[in-house]
Amino acid sequence: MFREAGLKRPPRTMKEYTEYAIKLTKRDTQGNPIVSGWSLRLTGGGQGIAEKFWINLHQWGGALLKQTADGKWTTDFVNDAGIKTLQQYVDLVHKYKTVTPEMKADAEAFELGLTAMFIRESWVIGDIAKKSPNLEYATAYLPRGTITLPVNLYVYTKDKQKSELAWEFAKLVVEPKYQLWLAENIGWLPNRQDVDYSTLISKIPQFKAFLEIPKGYVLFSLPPIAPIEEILTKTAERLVKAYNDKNLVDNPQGIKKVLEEIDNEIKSILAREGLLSSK
Amino acid sequence: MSFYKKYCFFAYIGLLPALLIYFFVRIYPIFDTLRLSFYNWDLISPIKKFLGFENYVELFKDSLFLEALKNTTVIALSTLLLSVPLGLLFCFLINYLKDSKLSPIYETIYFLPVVISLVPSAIAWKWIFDARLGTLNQLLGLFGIKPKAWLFDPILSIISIIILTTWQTLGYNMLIFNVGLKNVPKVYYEAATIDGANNSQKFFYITLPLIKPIVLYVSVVTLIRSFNIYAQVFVLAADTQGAPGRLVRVLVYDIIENAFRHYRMGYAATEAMIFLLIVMGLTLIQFYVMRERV
Repeated sequence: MFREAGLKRPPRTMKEYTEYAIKLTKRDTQGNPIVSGWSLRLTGGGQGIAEKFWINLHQWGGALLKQTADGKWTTDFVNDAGIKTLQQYVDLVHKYKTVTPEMKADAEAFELGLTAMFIRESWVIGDIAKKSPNLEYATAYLPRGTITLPVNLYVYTKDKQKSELAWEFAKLVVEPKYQLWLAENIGWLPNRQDVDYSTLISKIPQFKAFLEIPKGYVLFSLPPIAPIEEILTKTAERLVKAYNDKNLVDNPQGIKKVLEEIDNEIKSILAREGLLSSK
Repeated sequence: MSFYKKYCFFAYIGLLPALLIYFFVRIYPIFDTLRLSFYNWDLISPIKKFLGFENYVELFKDSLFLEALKNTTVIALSTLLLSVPLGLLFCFLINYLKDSKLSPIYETIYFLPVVISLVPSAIAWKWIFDARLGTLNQLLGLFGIKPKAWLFDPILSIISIIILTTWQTLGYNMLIFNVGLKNVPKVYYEAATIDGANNSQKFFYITLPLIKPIVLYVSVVTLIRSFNIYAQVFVLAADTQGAPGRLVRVLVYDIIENAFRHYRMGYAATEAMIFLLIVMGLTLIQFYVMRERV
């Protein structure tokens, strides 16, 4: 699809993502998109919608939540970064019509050849190997950085024998050979950075964008706070409504209002849990 | 102790195990949920913080709860208004064709949705409602109607759920009405025929008054079951990587989300109590309305 559209490299800025999406979209005779240029998570339930929004927001320099010096949390998206992020979604759906909520989305769409590009974790590599092994595709770095999952290890400490056994098991599963096995067979990224992944990358080049992190690539992860799922789920509900609102096209004030509503809700949840920063 | 008292005592002893199980499974959880609704509890913490009525105050300011309440009420009342009269109508049509060899086949067709599990039938309907490949849009296309985004449009997605729920409820309602109709003595109809009554007069002055208790039962059961809607919306829209549809938020979904995704057991218990009060209130209204006219 990239070759057909005359595109020789992946997009490097968020503005380029929009330009690429326009060029890559395939349409029927009436101009309706039949292959989305860039598949976006626009519908469904749960927190995935807000998580994907956050990843895009991160590229523009914002964050749904950020920690302050006092260890508490605040928001960082009622600003230029937030407006540009939501504007991009709204524009792609309503102005440029490169994607619609009705279209197949995400990994499924990519595997079926119904989208040209999308942002997702490395598990898709394993999924494609199983479901669409002949698919010709590549992976690329995001403009600024991406999300990582925090690693939590909970060990039972009351019974010494059990805690020692748990620790031995934890050490076993992070041995290099199992880390490589995990990536190659499942697709999820290994936890260790000190393992030589060059053999894996030469075998499956798509892993390069996930395992060789460039200098200056900014990583973030979901805050380890109790109401994180509630914050993401409630944000997702508001985002879905905004994505479907045609009135937000070329309407930065309207977009700001949506962001302010999300901001108020997140702050009220943080305040309720005693996690809202006063700074 | 008299023989009667001994007899009663034996009966109570015999009923006791069943009553105890009923109490612990049905009654105790309601009171425990009511108690929990005044606390903040995250499911695993040994500490439960007492909040008084804070959960209740927050609930009525919660836009998601209010949306869920509105959606559930619309779906439940629409299902009630569609599936009860249609169940009665289909019951009459099947009775009208009772001498036909096809009658059992019709009965089976209408009852089939009741015995099919919710999840597989909802998946089948997901394909029927599909905006691009769905049979519903194909069918509408034959009449020149443009394809509709059934699972994505805010109104159409609710209509889709109503259609699916009505389809699932219709067969059961029809079956119960059928039982009621068979219990109406034929002599009343014979007498009415002699008096020169037409079919609609027989229906409104004989059938309907005599099957009113059945209508009440069917209405109450339909309303309660429709308020409990969950699996349909979950399958049609929620938590799928491909994001197949717009999530129609309903009360049970909201309760489960608050309890087991947000770990706000007290808040979810508050929702459950409000849910209980609404269903109880509507049921009492139905009983009152129907009792007046019996």
